[in-house]
Amino acid sequence: MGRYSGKTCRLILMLVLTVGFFVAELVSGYLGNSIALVSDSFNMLSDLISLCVGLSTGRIARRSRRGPRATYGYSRAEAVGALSNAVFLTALCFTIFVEAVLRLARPEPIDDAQLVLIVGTLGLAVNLVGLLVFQDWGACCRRRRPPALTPAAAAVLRAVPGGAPTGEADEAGDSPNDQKSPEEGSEKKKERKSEALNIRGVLLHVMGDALGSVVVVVAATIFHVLPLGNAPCNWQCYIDPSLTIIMVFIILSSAFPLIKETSIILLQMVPKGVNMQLLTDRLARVPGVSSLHEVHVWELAGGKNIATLHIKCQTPTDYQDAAYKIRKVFHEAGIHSVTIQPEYIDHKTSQLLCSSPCISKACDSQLCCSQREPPLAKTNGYTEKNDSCLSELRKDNGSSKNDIEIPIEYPLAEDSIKNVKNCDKSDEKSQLSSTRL
Amino acid sequence: RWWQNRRARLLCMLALTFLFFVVEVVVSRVTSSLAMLSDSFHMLSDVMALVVALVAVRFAQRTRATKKNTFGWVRAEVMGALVNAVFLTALCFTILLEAIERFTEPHEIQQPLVVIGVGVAGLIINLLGLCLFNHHGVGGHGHSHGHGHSHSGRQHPRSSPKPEQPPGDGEAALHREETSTLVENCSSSNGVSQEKLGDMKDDMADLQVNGNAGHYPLDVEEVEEDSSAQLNMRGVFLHVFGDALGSVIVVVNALLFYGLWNPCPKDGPCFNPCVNNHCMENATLSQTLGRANKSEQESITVAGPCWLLYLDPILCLMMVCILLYTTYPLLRESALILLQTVPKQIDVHSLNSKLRTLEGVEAVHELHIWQLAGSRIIGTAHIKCPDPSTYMMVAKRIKEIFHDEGIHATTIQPEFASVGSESGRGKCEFPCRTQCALKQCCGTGEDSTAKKTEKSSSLSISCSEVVIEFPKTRRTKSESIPSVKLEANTDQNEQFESSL
Repeated sequence: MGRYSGKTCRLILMLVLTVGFFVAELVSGYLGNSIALVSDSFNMLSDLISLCVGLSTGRIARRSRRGPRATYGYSRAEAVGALSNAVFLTALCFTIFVEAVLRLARPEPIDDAQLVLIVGTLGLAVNLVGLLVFQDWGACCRRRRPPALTPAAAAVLRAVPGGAPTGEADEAGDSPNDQKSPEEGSEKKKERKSEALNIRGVLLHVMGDALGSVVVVVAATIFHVLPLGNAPCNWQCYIDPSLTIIMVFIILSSAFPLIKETSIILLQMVPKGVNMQLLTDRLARVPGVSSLHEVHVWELAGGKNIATLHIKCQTPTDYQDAAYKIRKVFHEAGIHSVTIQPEYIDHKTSQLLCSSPCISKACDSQLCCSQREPPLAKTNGYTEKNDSCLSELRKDNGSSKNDIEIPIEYPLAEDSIKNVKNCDKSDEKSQLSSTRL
Repeated sequence: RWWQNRRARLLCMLALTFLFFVVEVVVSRVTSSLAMLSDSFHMLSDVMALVVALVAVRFAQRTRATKKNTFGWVRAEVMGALVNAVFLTALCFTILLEAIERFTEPHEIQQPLVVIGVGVAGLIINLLGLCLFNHHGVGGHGHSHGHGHSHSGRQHPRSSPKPEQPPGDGEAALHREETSTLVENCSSSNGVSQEKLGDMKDDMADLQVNGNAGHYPLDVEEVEEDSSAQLNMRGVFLHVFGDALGSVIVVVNALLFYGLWNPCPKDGPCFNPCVNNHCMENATLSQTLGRANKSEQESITVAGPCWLLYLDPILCLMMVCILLYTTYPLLRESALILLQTVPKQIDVHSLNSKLRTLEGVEAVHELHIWQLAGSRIIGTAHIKCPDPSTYMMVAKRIKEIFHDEGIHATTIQPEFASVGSESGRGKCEFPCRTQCALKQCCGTGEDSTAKKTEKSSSLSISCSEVVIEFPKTRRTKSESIPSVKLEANTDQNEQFESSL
């Protein structure tokens, strides 16, 4: 919807501009026989490459659906693209640094200062335009999304026919929309963060190029104003390499944070803003949960956090009650895709070890985390949980029997309604569930 | 042996390369040869690649879960491989640019003898590096001995009868990984339990050098075995390979130059037809001189065959092509792992159908398979069963199916729907709240129509674990409300309906 809007147009504009200027610089460099121009044009080429990488990974991430090859889709492509751009830039900086050091060892004056000055200024202008285009990026697209959602969602809800449910649907339709705005705000921020990753990689390249143009312009101005003629190199010849070295350090200092951020995503680290200790403490306190293990939290891309965990329970009812509360804990922590594996306590295995790691212990090294080492959830295996579980078991004895017998008839609706009310939920949710029932 | 230790190899090569870099810088200062200085910086880039690989290896040995990373740091090696591959590509790009510049402004090699000497020394070091890292390139010769030993040691998981291994937990884990890979494959191919493994072990030790006798193809086995470390080492190998190629080019060029080039003598007029710009005036000058004074014509030397000057850039271009061709597969592989794609040996469709055809399983959704690093493949799935007891019966079978595919770390979430409820065939019973739809990993956020309908359907589901018990209520709801088609997760043919 918002894909083929001004965003792509600007990108294509930037692409065309860069290609055009690259060709112009190359041609004029060969015509005017200036190596500096030719090398600057190749800087443009690297800019172009990074732009292509950024664009294509952005497209892949947005377009590709989930399929048999990638069950999560390709939304991580942006992070990989950003990392590639950052590493590419680091390598280019390295070679520029080497050249600058060589120039310091053997300084050379700039030959045709005027031509270099003119083309350098033009290059700087192109780079500044590029910077503006990319800085403006995030602002333009965010504004487009929210209006598209609300009327469509409301329309769908209104399309739900049937007597009583309609009113409830409207009612129900209101509350999630109310709840939507604060969530949308944080979601916007997170989406911006991920897109920003992709675009930040390209921005870094453009900024590096702009800085390079600045150095070229400064050096050429100096040579133009104070021409050297045939004299041997004085201090003027050292300006270019030293400025270049400073520029390299500036670029590197802004490339490394980008590398760090993409590493957090790509190395499956716990996303920022999630405190594992706190989270596992809260999870362990959920009634019905005897212990937890194999708790994994990671970020797919762009604020989409995923968690999996194994819990040990006494009975299936415990699991079903606890599952909801566990999800709530995760939801509050900002993790919305959770997969919970229940294991029922057999008193043979320890509380903390997984009852069903794989079918044989031989697969231990293939597991994501070795079962032999003490698991992270060591701190969550509160032994007093056993007692609370048993008490709950006695409480729910009536309903637990009915769980096993199928199907469940109407008379139990009251029980379940009671259970619903007993759930530790927020008011809106109980409202929703009661309307549903 | 100590050289089978990855870290030792990397450190050794690092020390050698850095030493050589220093030597080259000194020599270049002494002989004031610019070419040597620039070549020394190629060595420096090698050093950087080795440092990246070393850091990755150090990280990846911490396989334990930590507060910052619940999976441990095993993926560091894959990332190190990607970083090295991109770094190498960038270096190729700069070499390409240099070569193109050399086309327009060819340089003569000054002092070819010195260049030959240092080039040969560099080549020797690079060949040594190739030998060091070649084990990983071919597929783990070094591990074959390890297999023999570790098999007998399999019964005692802790005691690893490899005295040469340092007692670091990383190394022991590495070998446990190797052994259990083979042991696991045997069991998976034959469906045996752990008890029977003892019988198979001795046969396996004879059968297997690098592959296995199971139903996995041989090359797949090599890939799976320690493949994240292999990726990392491949990155280093490619760097050293590129550097070796560079040294070869330098030596060949210098040799040819030394042999065939007819240099301009320092004294006396000289006509160099290859370097065109400044020399145009000199050319006319020398021509007029030549015409003026015929006797001096013999003393005007013409600088040697011009094609020699273009040999360097041409060889560089060839080298760039070779390097890019060999780096691309590494780049692709590491990127695919980092993108959370399904490993290529696993067919998600067939896995899905196997799971669905199990009796007791009504539906499978949110099936995700991805590779953490190497042979650690992780899967999650939501299995819909009629009731908990059916699930208990089926749970072990489900795990076996995953195990057969090579997926050992699985998290299976059972969801219970009552018998006869057709409407909820594919729908997730436990999604998060409506407004979280966009933040969920899959499905609900990606398709806009799905987004809207999932939002409305999950209104009830957020508290619906207990709503499950009313089939009739739900059925009336589903009858009265037109079904909205949503896109299924993994199987695109499967459609499921909203419960509203």
